Amino acid sequence: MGELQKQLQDLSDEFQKLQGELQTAVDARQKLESQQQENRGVQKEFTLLSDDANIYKLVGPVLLKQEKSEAVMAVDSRLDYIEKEIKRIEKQISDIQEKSENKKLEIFQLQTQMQQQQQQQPVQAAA
Amino acid sequence: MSSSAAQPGGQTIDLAALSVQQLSQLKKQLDSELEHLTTSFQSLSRAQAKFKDCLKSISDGLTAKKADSPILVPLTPSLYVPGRLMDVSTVLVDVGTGFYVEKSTADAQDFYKRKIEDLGRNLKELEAIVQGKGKNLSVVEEGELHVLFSFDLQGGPGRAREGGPLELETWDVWEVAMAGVGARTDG
Repeated sequence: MGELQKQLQDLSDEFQKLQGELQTAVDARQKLESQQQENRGVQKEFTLLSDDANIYKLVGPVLLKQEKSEAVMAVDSRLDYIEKEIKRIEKQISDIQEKSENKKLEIFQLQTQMQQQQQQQPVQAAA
Repeated sequence: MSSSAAQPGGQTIDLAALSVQQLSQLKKQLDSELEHLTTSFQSLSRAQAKFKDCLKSISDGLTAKKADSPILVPLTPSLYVPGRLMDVSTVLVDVGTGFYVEKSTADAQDFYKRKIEDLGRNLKELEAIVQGKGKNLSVVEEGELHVLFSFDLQGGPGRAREGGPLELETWDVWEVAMAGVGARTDG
């Protein structure tokens, strides 16, 4: 009985840990999503500008003037990177989800096992 | 929990088939979703208000007759130096991710108007989603109540086996259910 209890405790600890990991991954995914949105907005804005528009980039405390082509390239490559990161994180999320689903099943099985044992030994449990 | 998490909007779940635990888990999940969406809604509104401020600043502060007028330039939130407004025809607009673009005031106003419209559209969409979620939540709450009642009417299956203070426990369930009714009608 105590053995099973301990096993259950361990399993639920692991499950909790997985849930924590899942939360971090989901947060990272959300952050990437908002960055992607922002970069898309900038990209769209750049397409509306004339080629000789004055574009400045904030580097630390100063604004540096940049060519439009350079700025467009920077945003494009950033979007590429973000897209790759999103794919990576999504894979991570589905992995963790699968793992925690398995853990949940294990916990459930253990719980039914414990219940069965309890029903088989009502006298001992009462004593 | 994650079985219902894997069911985005649009799919239906048969509430009658769920146990009390599953229902309360579903309710908890809906609660947190609703909270998240509400916070998003608030921050979107805040962003929209900020853009409206920018728009107002351009139309109020950058007119031709304001040219050359003395201004105080903030170096920090509490330290100012005197200055003079030299250029009222162009402004630098933060378009996001650290890029600033020089624009004429008309273009800048156009930019902010577009942003405000985009946000307005998003806000409307989000509002519809929030309302849908709220409806889901109240349906689940009702379902939870329903299960509690039927549980009681059946004499609490599974409890008789334990023996002991059966009546008291049944009463507890009644009380919980009644408290739930009170909370619902209050709300």
